[in-house]
Amino acid sequence: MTPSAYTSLGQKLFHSSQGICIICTTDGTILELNPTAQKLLEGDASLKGSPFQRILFGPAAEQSITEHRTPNGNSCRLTFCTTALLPETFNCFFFDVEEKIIVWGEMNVDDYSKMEATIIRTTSQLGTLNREIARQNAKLEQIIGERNKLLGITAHDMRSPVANIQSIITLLLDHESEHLGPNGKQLLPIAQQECSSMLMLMQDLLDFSSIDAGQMRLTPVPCSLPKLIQQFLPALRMRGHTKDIDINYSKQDAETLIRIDTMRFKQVLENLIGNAIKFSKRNTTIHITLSYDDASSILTIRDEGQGIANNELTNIFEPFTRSSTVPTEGESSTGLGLAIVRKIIESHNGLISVSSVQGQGTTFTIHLPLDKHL
Amino acid sequence: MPITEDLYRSYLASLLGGNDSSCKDVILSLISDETPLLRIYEDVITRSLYEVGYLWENNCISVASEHIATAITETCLSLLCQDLFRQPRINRTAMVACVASEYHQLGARIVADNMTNWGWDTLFLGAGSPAKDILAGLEQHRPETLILSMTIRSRIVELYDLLALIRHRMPSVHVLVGGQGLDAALWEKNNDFTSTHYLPTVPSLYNHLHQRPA
Repeated sequence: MTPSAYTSLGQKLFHSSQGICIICTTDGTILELNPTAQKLLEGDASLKGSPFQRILFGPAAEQSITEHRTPNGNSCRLTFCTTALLPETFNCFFFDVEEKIIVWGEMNVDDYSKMEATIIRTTSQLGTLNREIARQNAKLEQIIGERNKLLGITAHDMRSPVANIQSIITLLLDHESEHLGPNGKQLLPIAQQECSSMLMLMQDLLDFSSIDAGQMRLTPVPCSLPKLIQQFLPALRMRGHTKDIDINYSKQDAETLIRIDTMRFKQVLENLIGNAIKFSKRNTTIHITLSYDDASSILTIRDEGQGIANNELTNIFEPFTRSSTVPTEGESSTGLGLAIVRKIIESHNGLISVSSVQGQGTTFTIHLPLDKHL
Repeated sequence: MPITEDLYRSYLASLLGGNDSSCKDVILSLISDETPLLRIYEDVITRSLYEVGYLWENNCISVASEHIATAITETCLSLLCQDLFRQPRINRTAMVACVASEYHQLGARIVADNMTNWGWDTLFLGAGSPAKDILAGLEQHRPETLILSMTIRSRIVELYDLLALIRHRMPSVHVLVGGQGLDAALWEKNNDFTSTHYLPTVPSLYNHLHQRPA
């Protein structure tokens, strides 16, 4: 080929090639970039006049062009910062032409083939794994459904006999106590208490299995939360009296209405206050506060009990979870109460959270959405 | 939501443009509108893959664009499969696999997903299943039907070798073959395997399976 043919070829390559071409002064100041290099490396600000190392990425950016230079014909790998923010590595050749340094960079086809093959394989594997997860999820849902059904049937069928036993014991204690020996007088009240615990567990199991199976029927009605709490407060205070625990209730003045299933809300309060009583020492106070923000009613229930360890807080709403904190007077617990509470709150599109400081107490916070149409 | 030509064209444009979130939006909107799954598979997923393949064969797009479309489709299939396994089961099991060194698994995946939607329990082995894995799967799970996918014509020898091995080890298993790499003429040319059928499409698979007693 003639020299002019080479010149023409060089110009065509410079303007049309997918390789990058950067022309620099001998001290590494950028003079010109070909269109591919401009598109890939040059954002809004021109790179002309910048030092060559400014467009490099990683440790190479610490070295000048003369340190990267290889003899004509030999290449070195350099990684460039790109406008797409993903660094790209090029095999770079350095040529000395008319007291300028021409840097010519090509992508390594082998690297890209390997990368492409790996991405394809990994995507396929992820797709297959995702499918397997969906399969296992469906299987798990089926198992949970069967478990709930079994729990529900068992709890339902056992409730009547246990209630009958409890009635018989009550009858014996009320009407036949003069015929009871010392052992009977001592043991029957214990058996009566155990029956109560079993009935409580069965009720929790029934509630949990129906809630978890999505079969909980809610009957939400518009109501004033302050009035509702006021209505339930006497009974809750009665429970506190058994351990000389006072319940302090304060509320922000506002006339807002929410839509709620009142009996399920009562169950939430009974569970949370019941827990607070169980885990608090005598002569302490439980604080209930009600406030509002733009979108919700915020109810907090704070006790002055033993508190819960931080690492146990994350699982506290999971069924059958018990923290290492034990009731102060050996009260019984099913491990389902908080799971039921969360399900009830979430069924009302609300949120419940917990915070605790060991030795100082635990606070449950419930956000229930205000109904703007009421 | 009906799958209109405009909707399909917008999905295809997103697929070719590498816009995965737009593709996912189309699929999610079809799912939320309770569009029959078979229609989504046939009229969006399969149709777009054929069109991408056609564009590549005619040098209108690069193989990189085809790979991007494949990856996006894989993600869309993951969205579609979330509810498949909740369908009532019919106590029929199939194993779906690609022949060894076959790295295009989308066709097989679409078959497996559709069969799952019809109530079958499907074991999907994925791309490039070695013969020993397929045989081990057959022996372990004893499926009623094995479905093999082959998308590249040149893999026909591997398919025949695999079928010969299966017929030798498990003569009673019902085998179906399909995929872009096969056509009726190629299949009939050398096929002398018993209880083995070539089915070109998902609807033909449906008809075949449901005419056959469990």
